Amino acid sequence: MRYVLRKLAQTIFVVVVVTFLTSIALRFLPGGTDVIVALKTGPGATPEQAQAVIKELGLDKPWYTQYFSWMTDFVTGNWGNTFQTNQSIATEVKRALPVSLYLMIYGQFVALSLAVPTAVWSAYKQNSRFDRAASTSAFAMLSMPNFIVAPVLILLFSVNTKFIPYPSIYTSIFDDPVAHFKAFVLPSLTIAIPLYAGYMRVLRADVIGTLQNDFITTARAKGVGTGPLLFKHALRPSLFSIVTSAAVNIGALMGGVVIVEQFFLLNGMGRLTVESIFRREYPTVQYAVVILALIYIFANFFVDLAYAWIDPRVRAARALG
Amino acid sequence: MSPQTQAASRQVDGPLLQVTDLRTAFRTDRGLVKAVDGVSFSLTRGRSLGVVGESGSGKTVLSRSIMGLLPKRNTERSGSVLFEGQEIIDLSLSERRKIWGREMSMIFQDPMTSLNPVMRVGKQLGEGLKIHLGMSNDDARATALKLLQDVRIPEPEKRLDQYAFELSGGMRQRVMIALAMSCGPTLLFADEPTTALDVTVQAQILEVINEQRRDRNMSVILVTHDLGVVAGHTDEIAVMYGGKLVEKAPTRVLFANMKMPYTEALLNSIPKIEDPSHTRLNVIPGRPPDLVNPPKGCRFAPRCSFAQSRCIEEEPPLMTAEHPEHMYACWYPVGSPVHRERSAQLAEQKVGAR
Repeated sequence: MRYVLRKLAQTIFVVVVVTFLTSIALRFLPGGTDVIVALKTGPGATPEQAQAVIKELGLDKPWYTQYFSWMTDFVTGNWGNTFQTNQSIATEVKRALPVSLYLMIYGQFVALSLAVPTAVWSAYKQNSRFDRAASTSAFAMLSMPNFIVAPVLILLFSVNTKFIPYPSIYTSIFDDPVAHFKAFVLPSLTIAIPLYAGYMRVLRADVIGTLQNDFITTARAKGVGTGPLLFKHALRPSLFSIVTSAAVNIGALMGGVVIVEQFFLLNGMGRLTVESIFRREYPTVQYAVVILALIYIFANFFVDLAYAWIDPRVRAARALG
Repeated sequence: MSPQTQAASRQVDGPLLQVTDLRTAFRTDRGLVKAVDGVSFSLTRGRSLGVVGESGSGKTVLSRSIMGLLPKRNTERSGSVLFEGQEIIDLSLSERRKIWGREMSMIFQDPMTSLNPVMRVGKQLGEGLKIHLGMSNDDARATALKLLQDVRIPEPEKRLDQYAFELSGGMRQRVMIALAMSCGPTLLFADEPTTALDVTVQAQILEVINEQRRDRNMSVILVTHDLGVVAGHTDEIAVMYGGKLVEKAPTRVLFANMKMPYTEALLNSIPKIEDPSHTRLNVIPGRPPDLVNPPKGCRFAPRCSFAQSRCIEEEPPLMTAEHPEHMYACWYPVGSPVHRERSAQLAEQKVGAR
């Protein structure tokens, strides 16, 4: 329990730092407030108009007051409108966020659920034909960038065979599950393929290591069958690296999502962020970045909890330290 | 039937274990490593056998090979292992698994690493019971508690929900013993069970093993490099060298009248309490033989102070000594004229050197 509280405290600290740095970022834009005013009102703003914009963005107040008012707006969802199109930023993010979340969750889920059994079996049958095929194909997948995988998948499943409509139109899972999964299957696969390859290689190596341990022989000598031996005894102590790389990949995925969303024309956070940057929609970028950062931070918090579940020694050692 | 009485109630005529010409070799890049090279012996129910030898003598491989625990890949195994009259050397993995834990089980050298670090002790103890005896979770837990009491672990109730890292080395080895005992096996292999433990704990652990053997009428094969360990705790001793059995006798007979210079050298390498401190330890010079290309004659000859030309040329067979159960493989055993003459020479040299 103390371990959880400590991790939670660390997490909150990081959240404060990230939100603070984002909130004051507008102050450091090249060109100062003039640029922001120009973006918002168009050229030739009156001093009164300029003053109103500066006030709205909280740039007239000192940085600490600005932080609190920015946080209040952030938490209450009062995010204001975009500069040029005058759309509600909150609505834009709310529309884009589920698309990216589904994409990341499906990608990770597919990658992990394929990698775990393959890796465990490869490790058990080390150097067998299965293992060699699995390892070689993983290596090949690892060397395929997603901007190659995506067009190939589109070509195979949407252009040549028309199994899956292109572009992917986001549909809520609650409205039409079939259309939902049709929209996500190719983008998720694009994300999952390199992830799968990485996970498979990392976990295979760890399981091979674990299988050398004496306690595996103990379990064998007890009469434990091969399935339980691998999945009850060998898997859990081998999970550290794969869990760590899954957590690191959440960050990398945010970059990957940009490319994949672009390819499949999905309106997710990646596209929103990139387009906002190009259009200099600074507040939208601010909120998008903070949201992505929060996802990353909390995902890592849960990974830390997972460590403690995987290995009770972590629980004991970290509770003391 | 409770697992405690199970072993005692099964009665089969003849020896419990009969090993004949067992050979086990590992394929490596250097060639075939003949770790066990034609070992034969038998073991009666309820008796204990100590297998003694240096590191690399093949004693650990012998026990794992009998049990069938070695990975199949890159291993060549031949000979015969009769367990309760049944040939078990060619059993499939699933058939062997029915024997493991239930008929034979094993205690390993390092209790620090041979328990699963992420599984509670009670669950590990209960696993075999559920597999072999079809126990429910509650029954398995109750039996696990009983087993922990049997090996006299303090606060057994508490231990069930602890992890291995929360226990001391001695307690972990007691858990290992309880684990090995759980399904009432008739044959227990103890592979250097005390080597990794504190000297003060060693005697306790050996006592617990012995106690269990008596209570359950179980046979024990105690593998160790320490003649002192087997002296007080076994009925018979088998000495291994270079993958072969070089001497075997009832414990008392062996210590009274050892024949192999190797056995004698092993005994001499134990420091004696009456020696003054800083006495130079007696070591056996040289290294164990290369098991890929073993020496032609007696495998111990290159290191033996008493070796003659015959020892290097011709391999001695297992011969029977005065006692009918005492076997040894040596051309010039301890007490023979050649041996006596050479000992006198050596003693002179030693005095001369001072």
